[in-house]
Amino acid sequence: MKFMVVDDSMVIREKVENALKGEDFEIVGTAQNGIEAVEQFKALKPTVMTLDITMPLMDGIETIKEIMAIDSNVRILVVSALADKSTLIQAMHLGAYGFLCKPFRDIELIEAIEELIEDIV
Amino acid sequence: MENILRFKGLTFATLGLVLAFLMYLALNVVLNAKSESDLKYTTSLVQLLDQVSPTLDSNESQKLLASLQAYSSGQSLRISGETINTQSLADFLAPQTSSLDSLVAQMSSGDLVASTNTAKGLLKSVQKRIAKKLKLTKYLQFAAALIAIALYLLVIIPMISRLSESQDTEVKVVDETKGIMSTVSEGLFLLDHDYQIGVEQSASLRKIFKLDRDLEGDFFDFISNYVSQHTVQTAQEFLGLLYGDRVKEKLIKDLNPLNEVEINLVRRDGSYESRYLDFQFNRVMEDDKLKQILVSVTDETRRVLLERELAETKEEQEAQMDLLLRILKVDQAQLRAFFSAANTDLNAINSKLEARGHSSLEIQSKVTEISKTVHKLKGDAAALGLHNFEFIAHALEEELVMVKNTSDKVSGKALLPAITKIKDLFSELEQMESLVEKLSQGQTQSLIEDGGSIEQNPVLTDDTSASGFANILHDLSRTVSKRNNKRAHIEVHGLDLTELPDELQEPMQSVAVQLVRNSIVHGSLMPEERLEAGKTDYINITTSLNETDQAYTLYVRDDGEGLDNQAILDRAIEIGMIKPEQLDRIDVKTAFKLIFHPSFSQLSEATLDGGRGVGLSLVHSMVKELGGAISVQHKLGRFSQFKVSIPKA
Amino acid sequence: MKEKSLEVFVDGLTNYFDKSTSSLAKVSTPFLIQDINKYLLDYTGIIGISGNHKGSVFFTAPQIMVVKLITEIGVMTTKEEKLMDLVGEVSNTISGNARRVFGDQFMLSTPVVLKGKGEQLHVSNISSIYVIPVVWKNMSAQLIINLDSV
Repeated sequence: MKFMVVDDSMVIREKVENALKGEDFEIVGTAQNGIEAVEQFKALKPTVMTLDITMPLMDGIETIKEIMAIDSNVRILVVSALADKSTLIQAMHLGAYGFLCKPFRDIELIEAIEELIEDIV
Repeated sequence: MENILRFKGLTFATLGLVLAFLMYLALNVVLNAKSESDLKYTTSLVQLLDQVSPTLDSNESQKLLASLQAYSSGQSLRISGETINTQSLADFLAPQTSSLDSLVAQMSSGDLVASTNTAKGLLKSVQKRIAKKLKLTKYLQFAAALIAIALYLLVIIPMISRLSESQDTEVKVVDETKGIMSTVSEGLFLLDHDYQIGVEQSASLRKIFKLDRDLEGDFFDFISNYVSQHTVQTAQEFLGLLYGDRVKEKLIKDLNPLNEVEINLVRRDGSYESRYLDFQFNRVMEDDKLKQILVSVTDETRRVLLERELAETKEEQEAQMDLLLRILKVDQAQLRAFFSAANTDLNAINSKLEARGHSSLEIQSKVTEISKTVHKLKGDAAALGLHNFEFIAHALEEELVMVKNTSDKVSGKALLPAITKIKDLFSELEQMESLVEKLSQGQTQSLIEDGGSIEQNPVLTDDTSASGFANILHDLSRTVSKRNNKRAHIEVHGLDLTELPDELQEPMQSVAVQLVRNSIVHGSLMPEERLEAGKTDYINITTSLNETDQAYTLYVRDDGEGLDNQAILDRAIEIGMIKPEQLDRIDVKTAFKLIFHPSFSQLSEATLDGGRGVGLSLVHSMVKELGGAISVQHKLGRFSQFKVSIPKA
Repeated sequence: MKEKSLEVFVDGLTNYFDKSTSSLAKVSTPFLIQDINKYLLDYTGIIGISGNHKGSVFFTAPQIMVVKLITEIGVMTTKEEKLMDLVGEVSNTISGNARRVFGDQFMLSTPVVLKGKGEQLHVSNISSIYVIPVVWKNMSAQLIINLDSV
């Protein structure tokens, strides 16, 4: 299953990649802001994606909007430090499937992703 | 499910009923047809036999005889205008054939009495048979009715039993639900698609919300009585997500705006009571379709408060420990002197603020007066190493400077930041006092033991006395130089403060503190600059407190940069203390006196230690208040020496 | 920012004067008190506060000022009932302003109006209480703010 990681923090990107090692995912792309994410998304068409909200250049909310316009089938898990619930709820309304609060443990990430795709595996 | 069962049952029952009724009707038709033909023949026979009566004339008898003969020969017969097939009449009368034959014989022989008797007997037996037949018909009809009913029951009873069975389960379920709803500690209820609160509610729900009736109506209307509009909106958006089929319920739990939400319940006396409630929302699915949302509410107040209390206690303990370590280093008598002076000072500040006067000019003059006292407080706190107090005092001083620098008219509103800091100073002071109070109640020993390794004051070798005064000035010079990235070495000579009269101890300490601080901040270059100038990288400060017959004197001498008269003048012009055209009337050599003027500062930026020149003006006014004098000797780039002398009373 | 909270209440009050009367209100220097009762004037509106901050805010004014204020608004009366109503109205304005600014953090009760200084109020305060005098036409009213975390 094609997987994409979008986060402006390199640490988080690596953490997600490491956590998913040994799982049944192929990490096809990583992006550090919304603009990169949208471009890569068009080319790579991942099935699953983790997405940060607070990012430079283009934030997560805008990114979801653009990605949904391209392909609304992608399963997006918003991974963010819980600050403003209404922004995160907006992200869900725009098309994200779920939310995982930073900081997280590897097992929490894996469980969340399993839940995210339970009906398509 | 139950509904469907009930519907099917009723349909079957109705069908059964109709079927039974139809059968009954059919049976009746058959039976009636049979009895009708029987009746027809019977009537004919009765008419026939009626003629065989004693009253019959011979002519009639002849007719009857002819009829009977026709009967026996199987021809058709006409009686009272009706044609009767004699064959079927014969069938009907078959059991009575012998009686008929004898009747015919008797009649033809003219034996009237015998033929009448035979006719009567025949009639009786026929009537008997007919009655019997009628009875049978009735039985048959009854049986048909019975069969119909049986049929009906056969269909309906299983239905009824199945129905009642399901009702039994339903009753059982309702009973169990009721049991759960009345005992469960969570507040439970359901929400439909329009967010209307369902009628099934657990008993705890009323208790949680302190209501004497069930919840009803729109869920958001209901919660808007307790939480802010913003939270209600977020909750609406959140529940909207649950009703959608895209998001994963488990993956949005963290977004629930109503978990551990603080709500404000109105008590009977009108006051508010805060409680922390946890609302959990779960989708209720039926056939993969979202039917309702189950809401469970729990009261988490005790847990939340406990957690907070623990956190606060921990924080408080850490702050107290920090303060304690500091206070343990300071002489208790000095601390008490500080507390009393600080209380007096803070109250004086507050009284000045409370005094009438709201014009811009009046407010400015209040601020100027207050600033001096604040600066003194800051210095005193720093001298004792009470850093938190010193820090707040510094912030307060900054606020006051901002007000002073306002070129526009000033309103009391500009002092709101200042008053919050004054309040903080009061609380900080109160906290320290209560701590010292506790310590003095014999707890010192145990606290020190508990604290383990408490850092001892470094031994000060080159002092004439390791007095409290010396400790204060050493601490001060250490912190101030560190904070300003400078280095300092201080020697404290002469008397200890305790050797001064009580009323002089506190002011003299303040003066010494301000002067030492001034030497380091304003007098000293940076270490590398000093080295370049051929000096030690640290500034050497010497203080000396002495007593003569007439006065107490304090010298503070340093090998710093001295005072730059020209720089002082430039600064004075820059900040508008003097106008350029006044310059030629001023003796440059006396310019240094300007440093004692309020609002003069050599630094363009206020720092925690420098202030804005209030230090020296404060020293100046304190000395004047004590009836003393202050003088300065200095050489640019070499040294400066402040001398303060206070005459003995 | 603690001063921000104070400011919101002060602004609510001065706005009222500025918008409803012909002369501006001036804020005098704020100070601290321990006992509220000494500072209550003839009419007092009380707003109860809960939420992130708990406590109460008082608007207290001398009778002469309330009468002058009601006259300015165009009602010629010295009826106590009307004066109390006006004080309630001022308090409502202060509270409404705070509600608009703080939104989430504060819950504000409907103001209660008291007449006279006789009644002793039992106000619990762990630390000092703020008094902010507001001068209007040379008469001084006071905004008294007692909040646990401000």
